[in-house]
Amino acid sequence: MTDQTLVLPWQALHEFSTRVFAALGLPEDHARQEADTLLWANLRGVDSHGVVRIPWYVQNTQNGVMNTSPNIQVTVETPAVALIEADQAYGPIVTNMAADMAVEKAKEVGIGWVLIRNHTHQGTMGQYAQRIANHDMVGLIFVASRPNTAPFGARAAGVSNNPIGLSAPAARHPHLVLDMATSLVAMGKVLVARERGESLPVGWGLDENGNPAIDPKDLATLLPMGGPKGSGMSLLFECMGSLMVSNPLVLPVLSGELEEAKTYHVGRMARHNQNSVVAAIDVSRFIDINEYKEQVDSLIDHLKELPRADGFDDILMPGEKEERTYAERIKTGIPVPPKTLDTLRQIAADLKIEFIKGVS
Amino acid sequence: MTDQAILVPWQDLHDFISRLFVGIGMPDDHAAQEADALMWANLRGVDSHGVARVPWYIANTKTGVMNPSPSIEVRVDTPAIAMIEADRAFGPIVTNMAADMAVEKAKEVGIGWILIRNHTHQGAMGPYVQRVSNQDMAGLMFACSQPNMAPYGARVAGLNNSPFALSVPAKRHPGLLLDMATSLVALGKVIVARDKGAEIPPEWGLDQNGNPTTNPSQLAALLPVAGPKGSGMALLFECMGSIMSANSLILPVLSGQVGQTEEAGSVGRMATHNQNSVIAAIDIARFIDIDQYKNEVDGLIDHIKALPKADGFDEITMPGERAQRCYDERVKTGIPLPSGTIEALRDAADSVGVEFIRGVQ
Repeated sequence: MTDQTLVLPWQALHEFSTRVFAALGLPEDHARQEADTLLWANLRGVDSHGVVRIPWYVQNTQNGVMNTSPNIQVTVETPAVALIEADQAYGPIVTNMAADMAVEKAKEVGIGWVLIRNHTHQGTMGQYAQRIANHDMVGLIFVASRPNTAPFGARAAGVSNNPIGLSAPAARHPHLVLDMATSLVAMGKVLVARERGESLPVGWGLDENGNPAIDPKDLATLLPMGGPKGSGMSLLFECMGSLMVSNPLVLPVLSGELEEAKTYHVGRMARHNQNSVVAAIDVSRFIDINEYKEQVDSLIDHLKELPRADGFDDILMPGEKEERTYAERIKTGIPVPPKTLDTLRQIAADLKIEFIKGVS
Repeated sequence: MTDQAILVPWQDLHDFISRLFVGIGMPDDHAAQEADALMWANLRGVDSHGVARVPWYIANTKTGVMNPSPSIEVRVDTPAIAMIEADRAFGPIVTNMAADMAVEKAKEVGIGWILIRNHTHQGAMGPYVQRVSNQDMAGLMFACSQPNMAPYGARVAGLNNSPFALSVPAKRHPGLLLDMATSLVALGKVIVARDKGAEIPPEWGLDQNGNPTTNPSQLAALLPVAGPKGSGMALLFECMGSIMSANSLILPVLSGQVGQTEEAGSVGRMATHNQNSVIAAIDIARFIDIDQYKNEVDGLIDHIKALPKADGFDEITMPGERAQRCYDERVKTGIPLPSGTIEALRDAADSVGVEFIRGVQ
């Protein structure tokens, strides 16, 4: 039993994660991509989307919700768009493929718009948006998922807190990477509050009676950001993602066709499944890419020089906080709380693999 | 002199607006498109983007900011994307063109993504994405403009409250149409409060000292929706629209290269009006049978509307639903125009030399 948070080198966590997924049946390269995804998050302080997810992935794999050997197929393709049937693949495997496909199409015709049907958890949106920006392109990605957020005016869940990612490449500064849930707060913040035994501010979510949830353990439904704005965005993402690919995620739950059960998160959710859109727009079709990046850099410079609001030392850019955390954690290591360590140690024992190298 | 609001049939208002814009030099068809855009807004209760804008448009035309006879050119063109140089065209003219071009490309390759450079006010985003959805496609649009909103963490304006729109078609229900500013509230709400002499909540914006204000006349910068979220979206839209088309709108103001002035129709100080946008269409039929799709959208709407309601809500309304109901009513009963608007339009008619609205003294 651990009672301390350990700060572990990212390589040790990556190596352990890879072995977990290989033991579950993922091919070596896929196991590594999944580990990359988890460490992308942990290195940037998005710990809710890092190694803490492993037990949930293991459980989902063992009950057939996540598929370690999917039959991934491109079922629609034009020079500009594609639809990939993911066969419940682990999110990163098929989303990296989709991002690269979007980039290739954008090189040919200026834009690539790739839909992914029937996939599973991808980790953060930010990593894929960044992957696209690394190719000197603008990235757009959104995901559709099961209901967990109250539509504006409702007191029960009816949309998902579908996140959206947008990115633009820069040169001096890190690429701009926006990664945001359409709920007021990401589920991760509720989980952190639960871990810490803290109360939730009013406005974060509702309990199962539709009243404001104060104890995080009571939260049944998140609330949308900006009321009808986040609610509307989420609904349109379900229509532009799930309904477009004949894999509705919300309607089967609302109609009662699909049951909900207690989840790893908070509250109850239906069987995990997702659809996404990943798009890349080729900047150099419109403007010289170096001139573009210079303008982005200058814009960032000037925004950061504006007079600050009370309580702010710095005007941060989308993705900047994450890149600073990355720069630190890649050197000093990743803090892993005792409860997570214990759960992962148990996973290692169940899978009959060695625990994290260097950790008892 | 009018001192009452009056109800004007939309056809008479449309006719007047068309004549007015022909009077300032627009071709007949363009004037009609501009009138269509203003009526779209007024009929749906988005009055801040309707005929109340006309005096500002006329003033902008006289100073050369808005161009009634633009030389519109397609500068980049692939099967999937295009960039249109708008030469300060009135927004509706070039945006209708871009929407139709997006649809044509989407029919060919599944998506059309059109960047419009150097255009002027479009009215609401709604008519354009609706135009796309009326052709059985999903619509996406955003517009970029000069700074009027404080970035998250700043106490002065440094981004635009760039609006963003998404639409999909349905069958039984009107299609879904989301049209939202990236500020907590649209500027129109501040203007309405100012015109009524009402106070505003302190969360809406900052005065010129960077402090929250409840006085709409003091507002110098809007605040973003959900802090870093609205702020982040607005920043990325500037990068995806303006910087992409080599027509930066934010940087020239922040760097001091372009000055700001008091501008009628807005609040606070803004730089000379200019915009860039992106409008895209995605062809649903590439991926799924369109009738099946519309049925599913209808089914989803039915079930969401059937959820238990929050306190204070009789109904769970869909994006675009309230606007559609307003349209259904106003198309029959007419458009209410406050006396201030009537007088401003009467002045515009006089200055351009056209007859006022038929049937109005």
